[in-house]
Amino acid sequence: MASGDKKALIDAIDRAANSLRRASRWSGSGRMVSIRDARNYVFEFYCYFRIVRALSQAYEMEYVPGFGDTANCFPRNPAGKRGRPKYIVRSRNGARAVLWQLCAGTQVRDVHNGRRAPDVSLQTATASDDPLPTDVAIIWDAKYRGNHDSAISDADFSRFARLIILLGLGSRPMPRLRLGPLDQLAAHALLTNGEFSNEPDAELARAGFKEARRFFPGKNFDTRP
Amino acid sequence: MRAWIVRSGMVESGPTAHVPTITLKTRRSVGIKQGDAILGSENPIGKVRFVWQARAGDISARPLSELKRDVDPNLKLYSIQLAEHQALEPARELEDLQYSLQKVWRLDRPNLHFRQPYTRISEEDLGTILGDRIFWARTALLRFLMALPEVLRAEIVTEQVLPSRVDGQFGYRVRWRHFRQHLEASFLPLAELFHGIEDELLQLGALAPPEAYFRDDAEDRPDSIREQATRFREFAASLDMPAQRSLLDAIDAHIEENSETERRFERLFESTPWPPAIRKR
Repeated sequence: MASGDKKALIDAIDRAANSLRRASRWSGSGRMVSIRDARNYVFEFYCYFRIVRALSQAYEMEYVPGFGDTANCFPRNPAGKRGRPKYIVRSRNGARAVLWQLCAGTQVRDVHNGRRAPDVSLQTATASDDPLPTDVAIIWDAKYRGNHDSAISDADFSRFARLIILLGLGSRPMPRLRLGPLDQLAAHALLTNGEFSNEPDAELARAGFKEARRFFPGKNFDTRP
Repeated sequence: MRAWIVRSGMVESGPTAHVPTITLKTRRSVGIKQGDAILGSENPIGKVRFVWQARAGDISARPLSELKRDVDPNLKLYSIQLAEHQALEPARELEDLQYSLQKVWRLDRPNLHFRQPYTRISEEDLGTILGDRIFWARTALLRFLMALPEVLRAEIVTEQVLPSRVDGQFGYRVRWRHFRQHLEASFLPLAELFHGIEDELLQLGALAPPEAYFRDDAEDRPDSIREQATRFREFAASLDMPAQRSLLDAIDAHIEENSETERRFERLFESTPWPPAIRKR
């Protein structure tokens, strides 16, 4: 092997390792970045912004920072809504009325007054910082699978079905939401980079939510039922 | 024959020395014998490079007190003449060879192994340096592993991503393959995910948050999402090589092309335990 080749490869390994050194640590806190972060909140954040952008086709979107230490900070773990950033969804017509709020990872009250944190929630215009179940219009949960071929697990399916019950969403009419390229997802839905769960369509219809698979950059997602 | 590295700052070759000579001032008894192989090293700040090779010729030793007054009577001055002294072209860089040398177990500070005026190395290491041979599987594996945060590194090593025991069954090539799979299954999807986020924010234009961080509470320092996306974009880009070949494929190709040397290295490192930096938790 020519020594130039050898040196070029060593240098390339060095460069890549140094880039990995930087990428594998969060820039501010220095904490490590692993695939767990994708599972816990990075994928959720991706889903949130994809929904924001889809909404921006039919609505006027306004980013509203929170305040204090978390003004522009999205939570990694379930957190109170107060002080956190969100988007306001306005009508494009005349008075530009506020129609909804779109929140990421913040808590809402369930029918027993307990706290739940859907990954992404569309809330009514008037929802407070301690939203009631009746303030919640649509919820989406992000399920990152370590393997793109893995299905939404039974446990994740059941948890989401239960969340819909706990927020009383099954009995309320679904608002008419124009989601442009994500129009199929104008419904309570589990979003995954992986595959559909093993439940039949009829069970999804009964539970009152949809599933989107292959919801990942560079892939074409599809939904059911 | 034994093999040694000496810091060549100590070679004398000038009008006073007919043959290149190294002198070592030490209390220890120097084990270098006539006929031993010697490599000279230069140690510029932060680096070690091997710049010449020679054989030990005549060796003489005398108490330093014969030459100077008021010195420790136990200090001896060794003069070692160098035969077949010749420059290594190109000079061999420790940073290139460090993962291919048995001598080096301090992966975080490999230079420390060559800090002394003279150091013994194995004949195998001598061959590796002279032949400028790289153990590609081990170099790639350890270089990437060392870049990771310690906790993550320990997880990867212990959680069956990499069989941690050296028992001959798992060579470095197998371990590299495991690690590559891990890199592709966990870091590349993260890079894609961050790329997706970056893209969504870009497309949102003025509607995107001017700043966006992840932070749970005030004790937690805010982590910029855009900065992390940049870091992952750079990492993904660093795996691209010219001619549409990925760096990971290029490494595999080098392991294949040099399979004989790789096998020789596998045998050499068969009984060498994981370096402590990799083992520790």
